[in-house]
Parts: sequence; C-alpha cells; structure tokens
Amino acid sequence: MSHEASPQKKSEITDLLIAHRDGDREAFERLVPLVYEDLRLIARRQLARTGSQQATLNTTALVHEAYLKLVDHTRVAGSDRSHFYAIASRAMRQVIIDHARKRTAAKRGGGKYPVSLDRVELGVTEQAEMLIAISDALNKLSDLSERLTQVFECRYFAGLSEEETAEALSLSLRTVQRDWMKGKAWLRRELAV
Amino acid sequence: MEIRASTNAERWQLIESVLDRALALEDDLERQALVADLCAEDDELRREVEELLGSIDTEGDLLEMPIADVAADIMQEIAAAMEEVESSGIAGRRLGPYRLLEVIGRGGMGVVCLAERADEHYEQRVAIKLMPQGLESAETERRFLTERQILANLEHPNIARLLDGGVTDEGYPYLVMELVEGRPIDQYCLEQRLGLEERLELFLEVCDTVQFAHQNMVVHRDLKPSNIMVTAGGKVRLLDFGIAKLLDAESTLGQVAAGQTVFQPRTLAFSSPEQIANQSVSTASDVYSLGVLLYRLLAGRSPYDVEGLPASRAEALVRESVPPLPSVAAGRDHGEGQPPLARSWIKKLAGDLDNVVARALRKDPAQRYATAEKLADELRRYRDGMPVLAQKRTRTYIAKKFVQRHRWGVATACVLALAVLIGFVAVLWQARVADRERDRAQVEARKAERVAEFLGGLFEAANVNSEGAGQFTVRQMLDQGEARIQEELVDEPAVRGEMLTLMSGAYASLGDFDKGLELGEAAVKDLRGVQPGDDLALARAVSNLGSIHHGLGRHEKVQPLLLEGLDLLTKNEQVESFDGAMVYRYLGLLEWSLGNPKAAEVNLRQALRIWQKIGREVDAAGEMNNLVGALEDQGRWDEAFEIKQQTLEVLTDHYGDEHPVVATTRNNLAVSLHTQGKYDQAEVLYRSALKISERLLGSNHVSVGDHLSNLGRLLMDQGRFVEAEPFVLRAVQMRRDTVDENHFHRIAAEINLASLLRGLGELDESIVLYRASHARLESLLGSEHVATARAQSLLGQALHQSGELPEAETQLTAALRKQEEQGAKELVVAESLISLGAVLGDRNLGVQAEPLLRRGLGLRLDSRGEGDWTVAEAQVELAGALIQLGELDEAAALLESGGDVLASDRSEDLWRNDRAGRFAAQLDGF
Repeated sequence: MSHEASPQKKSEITDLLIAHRDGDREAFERLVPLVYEDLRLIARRQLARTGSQQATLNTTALVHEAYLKLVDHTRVAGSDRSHFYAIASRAMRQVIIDHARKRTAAKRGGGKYPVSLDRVELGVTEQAEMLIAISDALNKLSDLSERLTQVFECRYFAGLSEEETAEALSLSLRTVQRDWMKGKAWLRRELAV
Repeated sequence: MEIRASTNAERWQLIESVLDRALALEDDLERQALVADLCAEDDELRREVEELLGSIDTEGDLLEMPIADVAADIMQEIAAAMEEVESSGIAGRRLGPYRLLEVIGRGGMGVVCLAERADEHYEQRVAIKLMPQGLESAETERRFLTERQILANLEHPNIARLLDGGVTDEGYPYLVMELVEGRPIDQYCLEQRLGLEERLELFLEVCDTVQFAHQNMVVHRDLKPSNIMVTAGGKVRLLDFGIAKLLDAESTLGQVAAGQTVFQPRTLAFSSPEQIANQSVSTASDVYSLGVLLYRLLAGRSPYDVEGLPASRAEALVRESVPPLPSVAAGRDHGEGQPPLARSWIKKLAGDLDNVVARALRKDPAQRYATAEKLADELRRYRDGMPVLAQKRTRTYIAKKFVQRHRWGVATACVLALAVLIGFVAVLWQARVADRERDRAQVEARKAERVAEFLGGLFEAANVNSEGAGQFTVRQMLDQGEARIQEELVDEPAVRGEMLTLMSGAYASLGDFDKGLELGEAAVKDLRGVQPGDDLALARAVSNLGSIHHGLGRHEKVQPLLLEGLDLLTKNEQVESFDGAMVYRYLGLLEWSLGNPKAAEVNLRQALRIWQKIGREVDAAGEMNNLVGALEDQGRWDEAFEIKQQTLEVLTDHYGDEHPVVATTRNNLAVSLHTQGKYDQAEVLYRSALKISERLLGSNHVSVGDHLSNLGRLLMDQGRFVEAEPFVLRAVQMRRDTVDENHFHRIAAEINLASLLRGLGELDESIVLYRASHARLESLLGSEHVATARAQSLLGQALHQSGELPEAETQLTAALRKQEEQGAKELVVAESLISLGAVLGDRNLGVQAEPLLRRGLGLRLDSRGEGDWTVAEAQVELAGALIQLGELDEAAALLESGGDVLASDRSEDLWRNDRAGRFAAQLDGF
C-alpha cells in the first residue's frame, strides 16, 4: 500500500528540478518519466479517496498533490513549484495518452485526422481517438512552438488555470491567454485536415 | 497542404507576430484591415493568419470543454484501472488488536472495513476506516494523533464513538469506529413512511447533535444521509464527525495557492458553495448541509439535481443557481418509483418551511443560520406555531437588532493610526499594516509545520459569522491556540518562540495589542534564551515586537527593536529578504507616525526596493500603497494619485481581476476620488474591489469589510441611505464578529451605522451610537483628537436633527474648536462650520450663523465646485440665515442654485432636503 516516493527518488526529483530552474533544459526531459510513474501511484490513492462511484481523474488536484509528495520542500523555492507543474502536465498528458492508446490497440490506427470537434457526446473509442489525435497534432505543434505546446498541456491535460499556467511557464497572464487561444486555433485547423 | 508542410518554426514566428497584433484589436473589421496591411506582400501568410483567426472564435467545441467532461469514459477507466490494484489484499490483515474481515464501504474516507477485536479479553465488532493518504512526517503524524484525540473526546449518545486509531506499518492512518447498524436517514424516513412532523423531530435530533459538536469546536464537514444513520430503535447516530478534516489536515499544510486545497473529500450534492470553492469551512457549512438534508426530507428530492453531471457543471450549479423552494420541488415528478407527496403535505411546506430551508441554503455563509441550534430553534418555533424569523427581515428590524446587540466593553489603551476617522472615509491604507502582519503569519504558517498545526486549526472556524451568536470568534480560536502552545511546547522554547511571534501578530491584527505585546515579549524572551540562538527567528520576533509597540503608539520603544532586527539580519546577510523588507516597512511607518513623512518615504522606498528585488510583486504593490500615504502627508497629492493609478495599471495588467492586491489598490484609488468628490468613478472602483475581494478572499475577509465600509460611506455621502444599508450593516456585522470594540475598524463601522440610522430617521438609536463611539474615541485618543472631534461633530448633527438644539450647539462648538486647533482637513472643518451654522440659524441667531456658513461654503466650493450636493447643502443653509437678516436677493439666488441640485440629486436625506423647501416657503412669505 505504500506509494510514498522514496527519499532517494524525492531527492533526485528535487535535484533535477533545481537544475531545471538553473537553466538545464535536459532536466525537463529527464523529470517527465520520473514524475509519470508517481502520478499513477498518486492517482490511485486519490481515487481510493473519492470512492468508486463516478470516480474520475481530477487532473489538477493530481498535479498539485504530486508536487507535495515528490519534492523536498526544504530545498526549493515557490517558483520551482511552478516549473514542476509544467513537468507534471507533460507527464499527465502521457498517462492519459498511454491509456487511450491501450484502448485503441485492438482497433489499429486510432488517432488519425480529421477529427470532428463539434460533437458533444463521444463514445469511449472516439474519446480515445480524439485524445490521441490531439496529442499527435501537439507533437507537430512543438516543432513550431514549444511554448504553445506547453501552454496547451498545462491548460488541457493538467487542467491548470490561466494563472497557474502563467506561473508554471514563467509567462505573463496575457501571453498565456493568447497562447491558449492560438494553440487551440492551430489544433482546430490541424485536426480538421 | 504544401504551404503548411513547409511551415517551419521561423515562419510560424512570423505568423504568430501578425496574429498577436491582430488579436490585440477587438473589432473584426479593424483586424481584417490590419492583417491585410501587414500581409500586403505575402498572400500565403495572409491566408494562414486568416484561417487561424477564423478558428479562434469557434465557440463551444470539444477543445473548450474540460477533458474530464469530453473524455469522461476514458478518465473513469484510468480511474478504475488504478483502483482495482488498491482493493486487493485487505481481508485477513491485522491492525493492532483488530482483524479486518471484509470491505463494507468505500467513500470519501477511503476504504471502510468490518473488523473484529480478537484478543483474549473480549470480542467486539468495529468499523475501521483505512485512510488512503500517508502521513508525510513525524509532525503530520503528531497532528493527526492530536486531532484524533479531540474527536475521541467527542462523547455524545448520538455520535458514533471513535474508539481507537493508529498508523499502519506503511504509514497510513486508520481509525477504529463504533459499528453502527442502521439505515441512512432519508431511506429510513421513506421505509418507515414517516410523516412531516416525525421527520422534523428526527431532523431536530440531528441538529442538536451537530450543535453539540460545534460547541466542542468540531465541524463535521461532510454531513449527508450516509453519515446520518437511524437505528432500528429510531435513534439518530452520526458518523464520521470531523473525519473530513483529519483527512484534509495534510492538505492544509500543502495549500498550493490561495484557497486551493489539494483535496477535499466531499459529496457534491451536500457540499456548501464555500466548500466547493475551497474557501474556509465553518459551522455555517454544516448548517448548509443540514439545509440540503432538510430539503430532501421535506421535498423528497435534492435541491440540486447533480446526479450524473460532470463535476464542473455540478459545482457551477451549486455555486450559482438558486434551487426551487421545497414546496415547488415537492410538487414535481419524483421518478425513482417514489410515491408522490400528498397535496396537504406540499401545502404545509409553503411559507415558513420554504423560508427556513431557503435561509439555510444561502450561498453566503453569513446569511445562513449561524449555528445548527439557530436552525433548530427556528423549526421549533414553526412546530410551536410561532412566527419564524426567516421571514421578518425588514430594514428597521435588522437595524434595530444591530443596535440591541451593540455592547461597549471596558476601554483599554489602543492607539492605532486613526487617520481613518479624520477624513470622510472609513479606511485608509494604514489599516493594511495589521492585515499584512496577519497575512504574513499565514505565509509563515505554511513554512513551519508546527505553526500550521496550531494556526491551521485556529483559523478554520474563524469564519463563523452573522447573528452574533459567535460561538467561535477568531479571538476564541487564538485563545485556544495559545493554551495549546503553553501546554504542548513547554520544553521547546525555540519552537514556542516562533509560534508566539505569530500569535502575537495575529492578536495585534484583531486590535488586541495588549495581548499581542504580552506574547511578543514572551517570544523574544524565549528566543533570547535559546542556545545556540536562531538569529533569524529572533530578528523576526524583535521586529514583530517593534511593530506591536508601534501599534500601541509607544514610539520610543519601536526603533531600538527594529534596529536590533536589522542588525541581526545584516550580520547574517539577510537584509535583502522578506524580513528585511518588513523592518524597513515598519521603520517607514514609525517615521510617518512621528510626523516625518520625508524620512518615512526613504524607508518605505528601501522596503519597496527589496520587495522588487526578491520578486514579491504583491508586497511591492502594497508598499506603493504605503508610500502613497507618506507622499500625501508631504502634500504631494498629485504624485500620490499618479502612483495609485500606475500601481493599479501595472497590477491590473499583470493580474487582471485575479488578485486581492488589485482590489486593495482599486480601493485606495477610489478613496482619493471619493475625497475629491468624484463619486461615480469612486463607486465603480469600490464595487469592483468588493467583487474581487469577495470572490478571491471569501465574503468574510477583512478586506471585504474595508470595501463594504467605504462603499457604504460613499453612498451615504450622497444621501443614498437605502442603497448604503446592506453594505453598512454587513461591515458592522463583520467588525463586531472579528475585532474588539477598540479596534478602529470597528469604531469606524459603528460610526457608519450611526450615520445610516440618522439618514433613515432612527434618530434616538443613532444618537446613542454616536455618543458611545465618541466616548470610546475620547478614552482612546483623548478628547482633543481630530477623530474624536469628528465623532462629536456627527453627534451634534444628529442632535440637531432630533431637535435638541442647545446640546447640538454645545457639541458642534466644541468639535469645531478642536478641529481648527488640531488642523483638521478643510472639508471636515467645513462640515462642522455648516452644521453649527444651521443650528444657530434654527435658534434665530442668523448674525452668528452667517460668517460660519460663508466660510463653510467657501471651503466646500474650493474643493468640490458648484453642482456638488454638499455645496448645495451649504448654499441652502446660508440662504436660511440670510433670510433672517433680510438679505432676500442673495438668499433667493442661493436657494435657487442649491435647491436645484438637491432636487435633482439622488439624495434620500429627507431632513436635509426638506430644509430647502422650508426656507423657500419662508422666502415666499416675505
């Protein structure tokens, strides 16, 4: 039943987070898989708490809680928390997409464009396909602008607010608002083709 | 396609730059023109930009919805996949002397197991709750155990006992509870076919039980039918008291953003709006949940149909919509195979019961019954055929209740900066000092777990408000916390010292500077005695003590302490820090109190520089607000006004409407506009400040009180008493609940209430209140102080209105003398001049009245200009005096211009308005 991050792991995550703050871009890529594993464990506990009926993932709470569990708070400043959120948002995206891929594994070729964004009710396979399509499109977007991609991950997959996203990525609120608009616009166009 | 394929990062930057510029424009046509212009030589660019712009305004597609709604099934599957792993391997486990038998439930609390105690002595079946959240540290564990102890002490025949508890080997807490066999209350009522009266009786029993817990400082937080069981014998048994908090204890430490806790177990259908908004929870939150239950029992259905809705929609529903009255809901189709309610049943709901339920379900906790007991009392009144209170809330009724509850305690010395009462406006920026001290306490609390252990619990119930029952005021919570510190930290002077520093600050913010001083001194003593010393903790403690002496007006003691703090920080190279900035802030405020605004400015600018350097923009903005005061005292009004505007611009740009400091700054700018007589602009700003603060800080925050007071005052300054009433009443209520009667916030609010009562024609009560406020200020500040004089002047005005001319004259004469001697602001002097002139006029002493009124009118004209309501008032009064002196032409001219303004004004100050008519009639008589 124990899902606490081990002291070693906590320390490793914290080291990387500090390195990331100090400008080590690679640290981001190394952090994501570490956080990914724990997000799943934390999610499990969160779910047990909310009970089995209508259990769903509260991604925002998950990301917040991951920070509390995985980082040694005596060593980091408030701004590091924000950066952690960006990392956890990427990891959250992976958790979700991994499951979606499993869902469509039987049916080959999920995640192809075009995808209609206008439907209100989606069947479960359609949901999975749409998520995969979004994620695939995001991969393309990241070639054009990593920033737009990250803003989208924070807002969409982790459910962070505009303000939290601004802090997580050290951007102004206005920039986040614009990027969120532009990212969605780009995706709409991309997914429609 | 080819074009898009060739889009690379460089090209995209170009596209984005055009997009950004286009998005900055609101108007579609302007956008198109700009895009055409910017892309004049690049058709492809133009096409791409236009396509993207075209897909920006796609409203309501799947990308605009939260992922939890759009991909609900997927998210639930992830949830389920994870949960499966969790349930395995429980049965057969041993926990201490208990053996787990089977899982009997799952809920907000994690897993509930049936278990038996199996040692040689006896057998006992119990329910064990396994909490799925680990304890992070020895500290949180300790806190868990302390809280558990509180709950274990909650002994009541209707409450399931907490028998035992502990922590598993893996570090997960568990609780052993008395096993209750029964049915959830709503099902019990259905199955037993209980009538309305029987249901009410059962519900009253629930209320009494909840009240018992509240009196023992325990809020349930998760009241719902599955926690309210009825045994086969018909006895109510409540489960899980306070457990929600135990679970949440860890999250209070980990508050990640203002008001946002990581996780709160709850059942949406029974959660109060403040719980959903993650704002602080109080006894009123339990009252809300009781309201939902009562609704269910009476109407046979829930007030909100949240079943099956996505969480975000359900939350919005609970927070924003008003449910149908029970009598209306009861008449609708029930579904679920329930028998429809009889027409006679529905008829009984209409009226009183509808009103009682509606009041329990108010969105604003302050508007609900404050306690379960009040709710129960109300239902008993209904049962006994008495009128219920929920219906009778007419204006005079409420105002009178305020007055009845009004009590002055014994005066203790407390001299805060009372600039507040000198001018027209209830709150100035200095008020912020104490608030910040408390905010700081909260910030620190997050750092130190121990601190959180105390303060977290202390402030939780601090939200209890309204109806003055006041079981748990902040003050009582602090007192309890202090007792715990003394008890539990006997051997830990280092920790105790830090705790006491914080507590001291908290008391000071409540206006109890004596207590703040006592604890502040104890803190310094503790920390000086610790070897090896903690320089930073000591620096904080001495600075805090300095700030308290500042609050007490003992200026000579302030500076040495602050300088010692500064030395300690310098020694440790920590001046450029939060604590360093605080020291400079107080050095600045000290100089300012000593009447050296120039020196104040220097120190405040130091503080400002540090805030900026360490990236605390909000504190920096706060310091700008302080700086403005120092500048205003140097007469640099324009500069100050400009800074206010700038600060507001910067902050709004940065935060939009999403930060409390934006509200503070709007408030302060509004204060300038208010004093300049620019009422409309000020009103817009006050209202927006109020809205922001209520939304972000909750309706009971001290800042909300500031905005309420100011807005109330603003409306009253225009004679708009009926509009002002709700704001003034809420402000007074809030101050009475949170600060003692010597706190200047409180006094200012009481004076506003007196003004309101005068405006509404409740003269006797108004005068009583003015007298009390005046007496209090006299004992606090001395009779010569400008603030005391202002209260005296207001008293004189009310006496005049009630026809007590001789005393009115005495009071106003004294007030005017003091104001002139002490150099009060011109508009304040003008007010007394005109009021005294009016009294003299009514005593047929026109010769004496005329010069006073002319001076008063001149002062008001200088700062407000023609067309202002107060100028008109002065013109009318002067006309009255001139009529006595036979100078009819001038009187007629004055009456014409003044009377016009008064007639066109929104003022409801009937007494003042009538005087114009009276003088006009006199003039006609000649």
